[in-house]
Amino acid sequence: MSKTGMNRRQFMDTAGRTVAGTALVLSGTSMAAGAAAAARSVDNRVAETLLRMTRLLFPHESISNAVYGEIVASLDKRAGDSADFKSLLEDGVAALDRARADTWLKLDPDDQVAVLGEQEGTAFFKEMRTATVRQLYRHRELWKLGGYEGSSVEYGGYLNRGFDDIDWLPEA
Amino acid sequence: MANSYELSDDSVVVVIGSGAGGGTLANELAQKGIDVVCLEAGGRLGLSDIVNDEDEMSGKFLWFDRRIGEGVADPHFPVWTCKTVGGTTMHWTGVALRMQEHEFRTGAVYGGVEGATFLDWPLTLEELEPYYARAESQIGVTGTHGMPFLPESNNYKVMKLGARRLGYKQFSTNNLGINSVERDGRPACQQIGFCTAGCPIGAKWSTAFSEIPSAEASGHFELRTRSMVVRINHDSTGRASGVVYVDGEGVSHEQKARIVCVAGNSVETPRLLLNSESALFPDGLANGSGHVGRHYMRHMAQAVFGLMPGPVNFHRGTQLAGIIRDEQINEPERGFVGGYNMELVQFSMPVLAERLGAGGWGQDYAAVMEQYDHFAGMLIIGEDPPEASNRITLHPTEKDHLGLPVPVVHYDFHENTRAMSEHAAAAGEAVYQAAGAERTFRTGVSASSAHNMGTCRMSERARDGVCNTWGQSHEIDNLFISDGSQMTTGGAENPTLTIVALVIRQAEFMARQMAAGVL
Repeated sequence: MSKTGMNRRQFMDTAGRTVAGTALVLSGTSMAAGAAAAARSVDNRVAETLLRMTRLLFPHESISNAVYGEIVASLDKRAGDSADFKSLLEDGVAALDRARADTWLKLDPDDQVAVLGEQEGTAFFKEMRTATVRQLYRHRELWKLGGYEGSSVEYGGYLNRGFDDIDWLPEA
Repeated sequence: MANSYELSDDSVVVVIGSGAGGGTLANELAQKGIDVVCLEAGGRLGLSDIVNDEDEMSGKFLWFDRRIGEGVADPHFPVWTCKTVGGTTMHWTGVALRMQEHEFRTGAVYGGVEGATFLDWPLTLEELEPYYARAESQIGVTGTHGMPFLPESNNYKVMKLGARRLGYKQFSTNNLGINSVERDGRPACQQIGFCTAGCPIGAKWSTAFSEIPSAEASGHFELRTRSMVVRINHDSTGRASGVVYVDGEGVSHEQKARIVCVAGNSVETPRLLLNSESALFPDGLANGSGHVGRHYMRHMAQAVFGLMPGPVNFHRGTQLAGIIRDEQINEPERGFVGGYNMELVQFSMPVLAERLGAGGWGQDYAAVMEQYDHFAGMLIIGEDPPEASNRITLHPTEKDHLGLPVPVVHYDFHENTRAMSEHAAAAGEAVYQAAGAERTFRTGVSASSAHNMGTCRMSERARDGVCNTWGQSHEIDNLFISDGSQMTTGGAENPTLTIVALVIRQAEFMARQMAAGVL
């Protein structure tokens, strides 16, 4: 995997994946259709761009688009509550689209990541990064992926559930 | 049985704040038969209100009233303290360390450090030792007075391996105000791992569940919650006469007082004195020296992580149950004065994701987060030099929801802190490398501080500080500073045990003076 992002094959694999039980229905042609359909404040094109951006900010191959779609939905809700925030998102997407000859969504994944890197200092990038990191790693699917077990008091803590079970450390 | 005092009762001691300082002081006085009214700005949580959810608990007990940060302090949330019965003892990690002998004599020992306002305390470690012992016994601190150390967690075992291989000698699972055995009506630790979200079983000490109930049982104590003190009044001779507070319904009251003790933590305490200016005290109450709000100290505080080759599951267990003390010494050859302690730390996945890399993102970041359960971690706490320009002031125009000037928290790093921070991060990474880490990470020093001290400091001479060896203000005999604001220096140790020891001693002095008719 290149250090600038997914390669094209990985991108397409991820785009084709669907997850059972999700509220967002994904079409075969656009992985962002679900998120776009739910968007009420920003238009479909902006929602698709934001969805792709959240995934490139913190790419987890085995995490469904539905999870990233939830982040876009909450961004969309904030845009509905604040005209300033809506402009921030729309202007930010416009800046991504101006960075190369083609619109951002049409670019190769490596180029998409490169453009994000160029935008790192912008308020739009910082908002997107903060919103994504906060919401993504509060999601139970990420907890499962990373092995974080969450609330423990109802199980009697970890005193008898592995707080000291490390068995692979060498002797001093 | 809880008491109820009249607002006009000027025989009571008014204690502002119910945390490590205020809660302990109030109980000490009440147990001696002295009547106390304790005014707490926050509400009251019971054990059943505590859940293993950091976001939910933050919402329940953090101090969110507006503060403005300047310098390197976070502009919107510069200080991380609590607004609740028990104060920041609801949130604290339980680390209960005594300061070292030389840390009380920094004026003499560190020499002149340019830009820093190091000063000797008007108090030695030797004088404070009996009170440290009392505090440890009262709180129940592991590794002291017969209370066993907590057992070794996975995270600690990694730290210990690295420490051993580097030749460090002084490591343990730390001195913690967390029961390792059932004691004082509280259960033993179950390694729940959410210490800073509040201990849901009460194994971790908090004044909310120990001192406050004890005081209420004494018959000499009344706690009024949702009572924000906005001004301290004085009479024509300059003696404190009472306090004005706003209750939960927004109604103002004045409670008369024989003695006033301020324990609002290091932002609210100086803020209250500054807001209590009058014709007699034009620069703020007890601020003739100009030191109220100044010499604001944090700790050099940063986390270092090791990404290990196998699972650690560091979330399983008491958050700070480990320490390496070897670097706590003062050794200027390292390039800075003062020392630091390397303390075990674990973070939940949401917190680690936010704190791991300032602004980090992308393929590598995500790949690292997928290995959450391979993380080992430590929090390094080091001595912060006091500076006159690091201070709490009142904003000239911005007002809060009560119409009071918003506090401004100005904090810049001293060169000493930068040098110490670099050394400490390298040392922490060396521990994890020695233990076999594949990668190490350092977070850099935090912009929002949970350790805040020194803003109404003790001094021998009135011109150098705000209060004397008893925490009694130099200018007003019946006005006391009863929290970490009185600390002349911050040392390399978490402040809570020192605050508790100081107010136990302060209570003895106050009681003696009251019995003698002096106060």
